Amino acid sequence: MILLFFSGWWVACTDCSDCLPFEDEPYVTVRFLNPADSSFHYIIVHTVNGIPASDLRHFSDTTYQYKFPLNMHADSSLFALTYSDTASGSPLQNAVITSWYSRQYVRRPDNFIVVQCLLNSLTTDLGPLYLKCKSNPDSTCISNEATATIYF
Amino acid sequence: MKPLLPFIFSLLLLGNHCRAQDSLQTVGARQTYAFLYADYGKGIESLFNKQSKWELATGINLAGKWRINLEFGSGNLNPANVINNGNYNAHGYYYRGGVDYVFTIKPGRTLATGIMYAASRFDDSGYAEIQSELWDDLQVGFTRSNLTAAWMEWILHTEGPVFHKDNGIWHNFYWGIRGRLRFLLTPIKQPDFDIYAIPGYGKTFSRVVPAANFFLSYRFNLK
Repeated sequence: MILLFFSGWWVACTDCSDCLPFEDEPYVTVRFLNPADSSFHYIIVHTVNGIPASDLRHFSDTTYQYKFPLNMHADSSLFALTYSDTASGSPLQNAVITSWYSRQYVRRPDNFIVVQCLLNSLTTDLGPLYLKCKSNPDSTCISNEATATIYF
Repeated sequence: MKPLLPFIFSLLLLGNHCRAQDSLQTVGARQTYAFLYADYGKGIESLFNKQSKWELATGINLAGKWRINLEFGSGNLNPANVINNGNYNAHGYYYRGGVDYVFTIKPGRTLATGIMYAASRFDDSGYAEIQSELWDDLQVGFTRSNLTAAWMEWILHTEGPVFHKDNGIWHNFYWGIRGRLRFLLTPIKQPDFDIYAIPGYGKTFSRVVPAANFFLSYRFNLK
């Protein structure tokens, strides 16, 4: 009986209902694609809302993909960009990307409370935008799993 | 820490066993008695962290075989590592009721197993700060009242005399350990933030959690 009790005690281990790959804050991945040659090396974002893009933790200067942090205080985020066009060599230009989403709080397995955003849509004045979710291609998904491809 | 628990438990059982062997006249081998007990472990624990807890119990042992238990307690829990980028508090009261079957191992020393039903009513609150690279950091807090939870417990209980006296007031003092395996019956999901701790149950990291009470009891002979 004692062994049975302790075996039951032993199996009382941690389980986790929120075991997803959360980051510290919600973001959406944006990449810029040249439709002519499918090159990523086309747009370089210089600033996002006045902050140098290279200061963002998720900036990737090798693949030219940008992870824009979403505003956790509202159900939408507006990113005002300055960018340069490497193909044309044009000077800095302005563009806007806007995203809409709903927010929820989750506790990660490391017991940090974070915000998770369920992405509804993204728009931009740069060109055609296609949103793709890793796990749920045809519907809304967690923003951290979504990639927006802008053909420019 | 977890692998040490059975080892510590076994040592305490063994110690209790050895002490009880020469105490042949202690109360309760086949007698009916009432008892009161206090959990001194919770008092000691409260000295070393920010949590405050107390627990008292009473009951009756019928002919040394069946013991009916009623337990009452309070907890003001500030469990560590529940929200690592903030804090969490749960405070409230709880009760438990159940029955044990008692085995007399040696005169004065018993081992018992049983089940209990438990319920808690409590309030909780929490706070978290989430940093952002691009936007203002987010501070979020919550406060909830009149939460309830219920669970069942499987009990493994052992006790023995504190003093090796054959008579007088001292020979009715007992101490021991009450091991528990708790099975949560009610959901912990809440809008936005779950319930992370329940007074009387502990942290809700699992729907099955172990616990132990270190208690001091006093017996009142009824016949």
